[in-house]
Amino acid sequence: MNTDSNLPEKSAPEVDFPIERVEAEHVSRREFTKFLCFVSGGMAVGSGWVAAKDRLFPPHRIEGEAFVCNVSDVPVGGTHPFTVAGSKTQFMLIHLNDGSWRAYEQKCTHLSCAVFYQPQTDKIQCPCHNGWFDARTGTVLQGPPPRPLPRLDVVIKGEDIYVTEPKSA
Amino acid sequence: MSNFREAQRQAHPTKTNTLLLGIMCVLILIVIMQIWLLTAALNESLDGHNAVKWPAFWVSLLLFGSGAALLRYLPAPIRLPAREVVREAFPHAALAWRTLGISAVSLALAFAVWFMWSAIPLRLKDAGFVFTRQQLFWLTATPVLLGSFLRIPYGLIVSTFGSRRSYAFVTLLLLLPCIATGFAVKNPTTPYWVLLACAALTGIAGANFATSMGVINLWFPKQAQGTALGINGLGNFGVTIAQFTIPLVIGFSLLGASGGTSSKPARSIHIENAAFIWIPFILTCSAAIWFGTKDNTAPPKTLASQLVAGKRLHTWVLSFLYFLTFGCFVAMGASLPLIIKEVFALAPGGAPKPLLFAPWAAAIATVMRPVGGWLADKFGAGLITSISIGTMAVGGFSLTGFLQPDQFTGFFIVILVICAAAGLGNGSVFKIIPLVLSKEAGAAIGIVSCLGALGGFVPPLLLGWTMDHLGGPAWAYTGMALFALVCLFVNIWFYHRRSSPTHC
Repeated sequence: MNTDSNLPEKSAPEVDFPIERVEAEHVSRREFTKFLCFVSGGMAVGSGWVAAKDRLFPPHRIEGEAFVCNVSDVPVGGTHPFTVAGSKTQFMLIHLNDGSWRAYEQKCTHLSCAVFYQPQTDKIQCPCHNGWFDARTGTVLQGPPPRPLPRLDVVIKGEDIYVTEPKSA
Repeated sequence: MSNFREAQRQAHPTKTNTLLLGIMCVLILIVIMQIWLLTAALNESLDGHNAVKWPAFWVSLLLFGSGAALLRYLPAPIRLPAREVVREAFPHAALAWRTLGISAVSLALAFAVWFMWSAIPLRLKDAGFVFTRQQLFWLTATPVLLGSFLRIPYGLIVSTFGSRRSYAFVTLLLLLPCIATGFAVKNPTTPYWVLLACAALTGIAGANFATSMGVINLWFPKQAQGTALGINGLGNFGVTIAQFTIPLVIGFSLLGASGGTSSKPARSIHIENAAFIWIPFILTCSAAIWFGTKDNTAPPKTLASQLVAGKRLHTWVLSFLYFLTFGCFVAMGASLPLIIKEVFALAPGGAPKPLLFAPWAAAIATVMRPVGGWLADKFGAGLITSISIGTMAVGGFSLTGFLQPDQFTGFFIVILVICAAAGLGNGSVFKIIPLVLSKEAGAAIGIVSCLGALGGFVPPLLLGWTMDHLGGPAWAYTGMALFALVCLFVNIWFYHRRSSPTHC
C-alpha cells in the first residue's frame, strides 16, 4: 500500500531527532490523534476522581463539639482564627456587632483567598476579586464567589465557645 | 489483472487521508463532550448535588473507550517498524505446554516450602520455644539468603544434566528441609543452632525457581518465552497458598500420636505440621515431573560456556532491574503485615487486620507476572519494563503522603498499584534475558534471579531501620522510589531506546 513512497531511508536516530527545525516541530496527524486519545483518557480519569473523591477521602467532619476559645478573648466586632484537630482548614470565629457569634471557613469559595470581617459594614470581604459575603448567613452578596461560605454552628457554654457541624437544613 | 487492493487505491487515492481526518474529528468531538461532562460534574458536586457525578464518569469512560477503539482504524505509518519479531521453530508445542503446567505447580510447591520459615517463627513462642526478636528475625532471613545464592548452580544444572532429571531431583530434595524442620520444631528443647540450620537448609527451596525457569527456557521458542516464563511465574502463588494454609494446619494434628506439644493443655498447636504437610505433595510432584516430562533433545551445554554469562554486561544490568522489581514484590509480601500493624495501629475504627490485607499484595504481583510477559511479547519488553518501573517510582513517592493513621485506604491502593507494576516488570524483565543472552540463558537466569532475590532481603532491613531510627517508613519508600528512577534510566538506555543495539 505504501510501496510508491519516495521518502529516503533514514536511520532510527535521524528519525527520532531530526536536524531541520521544520521536521523537529512537525506533529504528524498520527501523533496528534494519539495525543487526543491520551487527553480523553485524562478526562475520564478526572471524572472518576470527581466521582470517587468523596468516597475515598471523605471531608473531615467534627465529632461532637470542638473548643475554640473563651468569650473574653474576642471583643465585639473582632475575629479569632482557629483550626480543628484532624484537619488543616482555617476557620474564623466572628463576634458580630449585635453580640451574636458566627464561625465560617476562611477560604473564599472563588479562588481560596483568605476573607476577613469588616465590622464597619458588618459584612465579610474577599479582597482578591472584591467578593462580599453576608456576615449573618455566609451567602454571597456580590462578586465572583459561586457558593456561600461553609459555616459551623457556635455553641456557648458559660465562658467557653465551642463549634460543631451544622445541622443540615 | 489488478488485485483488489490496487483497485481500491486507484479508486480513492486519498482514502487514508480521509480516514485519518475522520478519526481526528470524531476524537475532537469526544474530548469536547468529556470536558463538558467533567466541568458539569465538578460544578454540581461542589454545590452539593451529587446525582450527576457517577453517570458523568461512566459516560466519560464509555466515550474514552470508543475513542481508543477508533485508533484501531488508524492507517499504517509509512516507515517500517524498527523492531523485528524473532520467530523460531516450535516443534514440541503440546509437550512444552504440559511441562509448563507441571513446572508451575512444582514451583508453587517450592515457594510454599521456602515460605514456611516466614510463618513458623511467629508461632514458636506458642510452641514452647524462647527466643529473642533478633533470633527470630534471622530465622526468617536465612532461607532468603541461601535461596538467592543457590540459584546460580541450580540454573546451571538444567543445561548440563537435562531438564527432567535436574528438576525431578531438586523437587525430591525438598523432602530434606521439610523432614528436618518438622522434627526440629516438634521438641521445644531443640537448640537454636539446629533451627537455624534447618532454616538454612530450607533455602534450597528458593533455588528451585532457577531450575524451573531454566526448564521453560529450554522448551519454548523466543517469541513465546515472555508468556511462558510469565505463566511459570504463577508459581509465586505458592507464597499466597502457604500464607493461608499454614495458620490453618498448625491448629490441628496431622500425625495423630506422634504430633503435638503437650505443654499447654487448653489448646495445643502442632507447629510441625507447617513442615510435614508438604511431604505428600513433594512426592506427587517429583513423580509427575519424572513421568510427565522428557529431557530436552538439544545438545547439553558445557559448564564453562554457561559461566561466561557472568562476564556479560547485560547479566548485571538485568540483575539490577530485577533487584528492584522482584525485591519490591518480596519486600511488600514480607514486611507489609508489620508496616500495617505499626503505622496504622491508631486508625479510627481500629487497626486493619494485617493478615487480611497483606496476602493480596503478593497475590496481585504474582497475577500480573504472566500479563507482563504476554504484553512484552506483544509490545516489546523495553516499553513494558519502562511502564512498570515508572509506575513503581511514582507510587513510591506518593506513598509517603498516605502514612497518616486514617489514610489506610489510599495507602493500600497505592501498595496494590506498586505490587501490580512490580509483577508486570518481573514478567517483562524475564522476557529480555533470553533475547539478549541467548547462548547462556540458563546461567543468566540463575544469576539474575539470585541477585533479584537478594533484593528481597534489603527492603525489610531498610524499613526496619527507618522505623527504628526515623520514626516511620516514609524515607524507606522515598529511597525505593529514587532507586526506581535510576532503574528507569538504565532500562530506557539499554532496552527501550530504539537506537540501542539491544532494543527489545
